[in-house]
Amino acid sequence: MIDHKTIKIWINLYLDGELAGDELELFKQHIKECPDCTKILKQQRDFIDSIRALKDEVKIQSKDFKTELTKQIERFKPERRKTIKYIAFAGIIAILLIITISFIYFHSERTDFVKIAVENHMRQVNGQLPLEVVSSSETEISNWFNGKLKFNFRLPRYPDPSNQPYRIKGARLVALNNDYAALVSYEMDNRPMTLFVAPSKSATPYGKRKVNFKEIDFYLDTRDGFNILSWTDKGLTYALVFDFENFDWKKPCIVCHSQETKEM
Amino acid sequence: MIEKIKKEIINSIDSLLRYAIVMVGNEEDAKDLVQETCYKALKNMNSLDENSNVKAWLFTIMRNLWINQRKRSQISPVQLDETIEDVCDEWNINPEELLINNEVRQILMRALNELPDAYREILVLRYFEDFSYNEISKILNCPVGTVMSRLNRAREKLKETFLKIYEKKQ
Ligand SMILES: [Zn+2]
Repeated sequence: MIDHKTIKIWINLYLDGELAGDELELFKQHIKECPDCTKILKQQRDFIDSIRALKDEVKIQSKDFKTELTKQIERFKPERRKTIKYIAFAGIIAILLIITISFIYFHSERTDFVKIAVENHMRQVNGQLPLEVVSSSETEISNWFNGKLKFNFRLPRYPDPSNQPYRIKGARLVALNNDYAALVSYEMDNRPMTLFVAPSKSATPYGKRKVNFKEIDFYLDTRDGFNILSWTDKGLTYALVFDFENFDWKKPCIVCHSQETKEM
Repeated sequence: MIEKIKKEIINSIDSLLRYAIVMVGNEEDAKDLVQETCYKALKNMNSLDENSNVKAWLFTIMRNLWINQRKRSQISPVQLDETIEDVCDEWNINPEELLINNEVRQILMRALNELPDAYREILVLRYFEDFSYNEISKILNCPVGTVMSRLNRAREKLKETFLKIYEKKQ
């Protein structure tokens, strides 16, 4: 005869489909003859079915996410040797497009946003605007900004972190029209790059050249030897400042604002 | 072969999301984690062969990513409660009732969310995703014996936590 302690252990194994062979036969035999164990078996089965029932309780808004991810998976091509610079750049912009926004009333006159972006970039590079959060993790940066701004923004992860062509260095708050705006510091090919984000109510994109892609106007400008790409999307205005040479303006916009992950 | 794996990855998105949201706790981070998992999987597809269990492999990847992230954000490691009061075997709520009774379901969900990560995780792998002990041992990188004992403790702890909340409400 098997003792009841063993049977109790077997009940769980049995319900998990992990009991086999002689043990399974002995178990079945015992259950047939023992009402106590039959009762425990039933209760334990009910309990486990209750846990299983929780599965549908986990709800998540994922339709758009799933559709987009499925598309990306289907498009994926295994051999990807050529890492092209503009895709890296596009990655950053694409990332920012996923930003979720809830912006709050902002009441100030518009300023020369692009000029301030360049000034902030230079001051950051010169060490006059030290980073308040130093991290290469998008999640950490997003969490750090949480609650500090009158608008929300988070930086989702670069799709393929092991191939991430740029590095996030950190972020800080900067003043703009008596309020705070976000400054994120990046590094690509050992060159600094900063992203300045503010509500579009107080910041207007500007540039001598304008390119429209996917219903977004991108403004391209150069000042003091820096390149500035600025645009407005969903209530926020962005300015990306960097000093890379020979940059092809058009390609990054196509790549990221059509949300395509082309061959990398 | 590649197309087959891709299809299996796509078919696993829901499961991955469910596991991620239960473990990570918020939707945006869960989606980030799933996206990262899929890319990492795509990049490493050639490490699989015809008979590989793609779903279990995806869970392994995601779990490792998650653990690394936690290390980065310096969350203290999981503390396992090894001493569990001897709970009675009684479970007098049948699953049909649970389906109808929204309140009881919510309490059980709350109890699950209050469990230490390691317990919540193993219950999700076993009862939401139906992984076998063997598959779980590979995902968690631990012996099957550990799976068995941890699962036992997790179930008992869940029952105990549930009953505490449930009885308080009665
Ligand atoms: Zn018995």
